[in-house]
Amino acid sequence: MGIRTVAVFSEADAGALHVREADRALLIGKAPSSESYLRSDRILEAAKEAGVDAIHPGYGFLSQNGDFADACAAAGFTFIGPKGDVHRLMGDKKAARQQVQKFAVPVVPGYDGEDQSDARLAAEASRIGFPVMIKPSRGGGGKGMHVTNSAAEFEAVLPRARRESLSSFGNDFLVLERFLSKPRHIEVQVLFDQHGKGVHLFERECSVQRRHQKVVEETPSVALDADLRQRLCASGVAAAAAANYTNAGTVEFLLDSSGEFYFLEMNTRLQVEHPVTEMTLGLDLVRLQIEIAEGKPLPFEQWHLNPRGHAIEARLNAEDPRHHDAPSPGRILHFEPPHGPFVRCDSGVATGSVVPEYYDPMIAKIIASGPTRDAARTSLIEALRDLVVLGIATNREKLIQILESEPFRSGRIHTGVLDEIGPLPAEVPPSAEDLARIAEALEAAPSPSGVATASAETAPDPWAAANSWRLA
Amino acid sequence: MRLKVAGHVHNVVRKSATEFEVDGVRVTAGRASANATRHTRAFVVREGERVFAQVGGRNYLLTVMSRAAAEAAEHAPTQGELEAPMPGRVTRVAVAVGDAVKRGQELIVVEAMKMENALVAPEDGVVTSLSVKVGDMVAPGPALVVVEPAPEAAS
Repeated sequence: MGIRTVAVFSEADAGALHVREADRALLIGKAPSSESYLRSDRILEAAKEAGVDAIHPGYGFLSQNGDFADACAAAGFTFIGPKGDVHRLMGDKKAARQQVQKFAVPVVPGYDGEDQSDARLAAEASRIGFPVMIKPSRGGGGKGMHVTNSAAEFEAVLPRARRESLSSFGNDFLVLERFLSKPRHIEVQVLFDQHGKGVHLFERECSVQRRHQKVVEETPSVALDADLRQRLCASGVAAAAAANYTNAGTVEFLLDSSGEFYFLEMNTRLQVEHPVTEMTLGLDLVRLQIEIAEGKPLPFEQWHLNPRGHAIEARLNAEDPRHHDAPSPGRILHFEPPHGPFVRCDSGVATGSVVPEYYDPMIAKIIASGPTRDAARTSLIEALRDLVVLGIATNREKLIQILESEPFRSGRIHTGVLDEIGPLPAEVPPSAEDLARIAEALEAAPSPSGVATASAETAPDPWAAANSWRLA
Repeated sequence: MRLKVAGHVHNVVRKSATEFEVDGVRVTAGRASANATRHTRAFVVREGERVFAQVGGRNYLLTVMSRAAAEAAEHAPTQGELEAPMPGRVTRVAVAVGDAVKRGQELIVVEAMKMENALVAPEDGVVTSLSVKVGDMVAPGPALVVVEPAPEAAS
């Protein structure tokens, strides 16, 4: 776009890729994010020093912080995202649910009223419709939750749920909610300009999750037919309109196995998984975000948007799937991104990068597209096999296991599918052939002792053999 | 050369331009092998004695061993030598040299990326060596704490 970029960085990120690629980079504090990336005052000082026009908050840290959005505007900078009060409204889960309901967006049926009598709770359970989950109002982490499948079972379980809530949380106030069996996480990308016009960019399915963290995302979702897609996307636009939304945002829904969908929350920023939408629509979402922030009208109408084919993204994390997903910070001694005509690698690292221990473990996103879901899936598996990361543990093999699993292949996925797929099988020791290949590569390594900074490879295929120096 | 991986030491010797002998068995090496494909390329980086490898779509962490080290490794028990599971900072040291410990007891906690990882005693025994204190930065490799098994009579 011909816009010069200024990056900010913490002491731990002094050698990071984003620092190297920006036109200018400014240090804003120490490694812990509370002393750097979460300090809006330091970020605004840096913005003043560099004389920037606009601030893009990315997708972590302060990107959904309404006070930061306001502070940017007050200091005279354009904040690339919605206004502060929109962040605050959607950040309050209960207020957000109430607001979107006024615009006919479905929310999970429930009851959290003051009347806690047996009769009232039983009546509310019947109104909500079984199966109904009983939850302690103060609870969390699944503790004290009960799923009941009938009015009789509800009556039988209610006294126990009260006792457990009282003993675990010191309060026997209960909340009722429709229990969703094997729900899918499906979200709608929306885009609103500053002139009141909004469109949706269709859905993404992000059902493959570990502890509420997305691992594999795709578009379109195999769970939607044309009618359901139309209704879901319209609800996404309605929810955003309910908040007077501007810029790019994502409305998240849960889709029950019965085909009912419910509003979960709205993310008031760009999402990590936005590339799958870009690949099927041929759009650049960050460019559109900047144009909207500049006050330009949306450059297209809803009916201009026709997604093509299928795209899947896998998140590469610096973690060890064979050791309880323990983080694996450290120096990346060799990094080789995958290649291919329908493969994209958005990476925050390169050979020599240090993955700091302080931040989120995601180091790259690998995205593949194709005319069909299976074409995209097999391309992504190939790409993950081609991807080389040496020096730290990653979830690369775990991602391949997921993509090759029966539930993923068949599209029968839900938010608990990783439990179904199971842990990564135990490490297979290298075969004699593999050991010979490793020994051969070691002999050819440029620096056989000390810290080698380059990798050696043996080249079995004629194309790679063209690099004759490797075979010398 | 001797390569240690997954607890086993393998003897790998080059025999010809295309052949290696692995633990006494002859195999054809990577690029000359008939079933070689794009994904059987071996990528390796050596950092001191440690070798990071990716071959056949799998990652391995190997150690290049001298003859003496290889022989010692086959005899000496190393089960009680506990190393850091990942680079991080020691946030807790719960024992001192000479302490009797029970199997499963927490000895040291290493924190990285806001996750705590406890090193626990692999068996009942006595702490015979401790090389870290709270605040130290540690990485996989050296033993941080050593637990020697309790004598038969005590167990």
